[in-house]
Amino acid sequence: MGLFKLGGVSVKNLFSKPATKTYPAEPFEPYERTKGKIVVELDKCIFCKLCMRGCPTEAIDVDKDAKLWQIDHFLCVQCGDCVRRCPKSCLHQAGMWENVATMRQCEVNEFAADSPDQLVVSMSYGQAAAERAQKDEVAQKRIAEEKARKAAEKAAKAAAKAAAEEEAAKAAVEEEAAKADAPKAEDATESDASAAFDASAGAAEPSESDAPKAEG
Amino acid sequence: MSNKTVIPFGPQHPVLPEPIHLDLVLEDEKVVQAVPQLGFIHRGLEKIVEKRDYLHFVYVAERICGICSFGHSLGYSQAVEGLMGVEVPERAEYLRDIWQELSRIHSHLLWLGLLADGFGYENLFQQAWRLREIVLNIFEKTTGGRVILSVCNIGGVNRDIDNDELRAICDDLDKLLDGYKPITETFLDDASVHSRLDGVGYLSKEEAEDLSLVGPFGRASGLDNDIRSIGMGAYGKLAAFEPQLSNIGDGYARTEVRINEVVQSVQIIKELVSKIPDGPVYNKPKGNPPEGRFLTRVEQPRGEAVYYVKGNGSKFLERFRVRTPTSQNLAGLLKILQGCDYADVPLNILTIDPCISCTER
Ligand code: SF4
Ligand code: SF4
Repeated sequence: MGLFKLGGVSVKNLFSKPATKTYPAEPFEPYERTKGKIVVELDKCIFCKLCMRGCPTEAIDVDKDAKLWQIDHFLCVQCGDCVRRCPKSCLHQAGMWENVATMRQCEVNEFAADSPDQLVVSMSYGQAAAERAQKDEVAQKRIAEEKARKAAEKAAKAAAKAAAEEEAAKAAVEEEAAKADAPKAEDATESDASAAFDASAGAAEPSESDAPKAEG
Repeated sequence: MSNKTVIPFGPQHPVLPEPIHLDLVLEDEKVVQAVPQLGFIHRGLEKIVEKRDYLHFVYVAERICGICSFGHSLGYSQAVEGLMGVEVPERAEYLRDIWQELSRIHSHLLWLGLLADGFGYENLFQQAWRLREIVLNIFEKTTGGRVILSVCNIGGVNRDIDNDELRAICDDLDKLLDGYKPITETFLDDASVHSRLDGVGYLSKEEAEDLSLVGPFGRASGLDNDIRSIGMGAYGKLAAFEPQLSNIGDGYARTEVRINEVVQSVQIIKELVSKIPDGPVYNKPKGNPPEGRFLTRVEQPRGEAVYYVKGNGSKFLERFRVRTPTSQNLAGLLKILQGCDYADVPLNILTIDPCISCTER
C-alpha cells in the first residue's frame, strides 16, 4: 500500500500530447466501416424497392415510375439493413456525418427531366410533409390577407382621425393667433405632435394582436 | 429517541448518470431506510415488439441501453433463434462472444472511471476513460459504430472480422493491458482508494443469495453466479472458465472483481481468436416465428440478463420481456444502504454499477 501510485503516469502525461482530438481543427479520419450518411448510386439502381421494404424506420421512399429514390436522413438509424439488402450493391454508408441535412427534409435522388443521364440531387419535403407545407401556404396567405385588410382599415381610420385633429388644431391655432400671443402657439404644435403619435400607435397595435386570432 | 429525517436523493445527482430517486430516511447521520422511486425514463420498448417486424426489433432491443447495447441485441437474437430453431454458424458465435467481451471491458473501464470520479480522484477517472477509447475504436473499426453497433442479427452477425483484423485486435488489447497496469495498482494498492472503499456497503454471501444478486455485485460476496460458466455459445469452447469471486463483500471487493474481469476478458478474447473456425457468419431465418415461448440468458457486464419471447405465428412477436441485472441488484442496493453513513450513499450506489435505462426499458 502507498500513496501517489499514479504519480509516474501523471508526470508522463504532463509532457505528452493530449489523448483527444481537437476536432474540427484536426480532421476526423473515418475507418473503412464507419457508419454514416446513406448514399445511392442511382444509375445502378433498378428501383426494386427492397431497401424501402427492409428499412426499419421507413426512411427510404422509392418510386419506380418516376425513377426517384429519396431518404429522410433524420429518420435513418444507420442500421445498414438497406445496404445489405440491395441486390445491385448501389447503396453505401459514407463514413461521415457532417452536413447530413440541415432541415427535416428528404434528400431526393432522381434523373433530370430533360436529360435522363443527368443525376439531380435536391432537398425537398416528402409526400406527407409536402401536403402539410401546401396547407401551411394557404393558411399563411389567408393570414397575410387578413392582416393587410385590417391594417388598411386602421390606417384609413387613423388618417381620418388625424385629419380631424389637424383641423381642430388649426382652428385652435387660428383662435390663439387671433389672441396673438407667441408661447401659446408652442402649445399647439405640442398637441399636434401627440395627436400624430396616438394615430401611429393606434395603427400598430391591432395588427400585432390580430395575428394569433387569424392563425387560430 | 432521535428524530427521523427524510432526504430526497436524485433523480438528478452528480454520481448518477441516469435518473433514479431515493428517499433516504436518516437518523442523525445514519441511513435507516431507503425508498426507491423508478420510472423516470420508461420508454415502453417491450411493448413496441407488438408492432415491429421481429427482424427489425433487434435494432430496438439494442437501444435498451447504451453501454451493453451489444448484449441486448445478442439476448434478443438468441431468444428468437431458440424460438424459431435457427442454427447459428459457429464463426458467428465466436464473433458474438468477442464483441460481448469487448463490451464488458469497455463497461468495466467506464465504471472504474465513474467510481474514481465518485470519490474525487479525477486523474484516475481520466486514465480509465482514456483506455476505454481503445475499445471504442475497435468497435468502430469492426462494426462501424461506437455505441450502437447494429451488428448482431437473428441468425448470426451482420459483419465478419477477418483473421488479420482479429490479430490486430489482440495487439490493441495488449496495449490496453500495458496502460491498465498502473490503474490496477492504484485501485488495488493506493492508500487513499483503500480508505474510501474498505468496508463500504458490506454484504454477506447469505444476504446476496437471499436477494438473488447477479453480476460482479453478487460475485464480490462470493456468490458464483456467472452465466458464462454454463458454456452457452462459444464460451463452451473455452479450455477453462473460472468466475472471478471474492469473499470480502464490500466496495473494495467489487472493484477488485471488476478489475480482474477486464484481464480475464482479454484472455477470453485471445483464446477465442486463436480457436475461431472459418465459415459463414449469417444464416438467414426463414418464415415467421412460430407459436411458442423461449427464454434465454446472457451474462451482461452488470450480471445475468434474462430474455423471454412469445410468438404467435405472425411476423410480430406477442411478448418480449427482459429482466435486466440492475432491476435485480436494486434490492441489494437498498440492503447495503441500510445503516450506512449519509456521506457514503453516493459511493454505495456506484459500487453496484446501476444501469437505470436497462431497468426501466
Ligand atoms: S441504414 Fe437502416 S434506417 Fe437507415 S435507411 Fe438504411 S435501412 Fe433505413
Ligand atoms: S435495393 Fe438497391 S436497387 Fe433496389 S431500389 Fe434500393 S437502392 Fe435501388
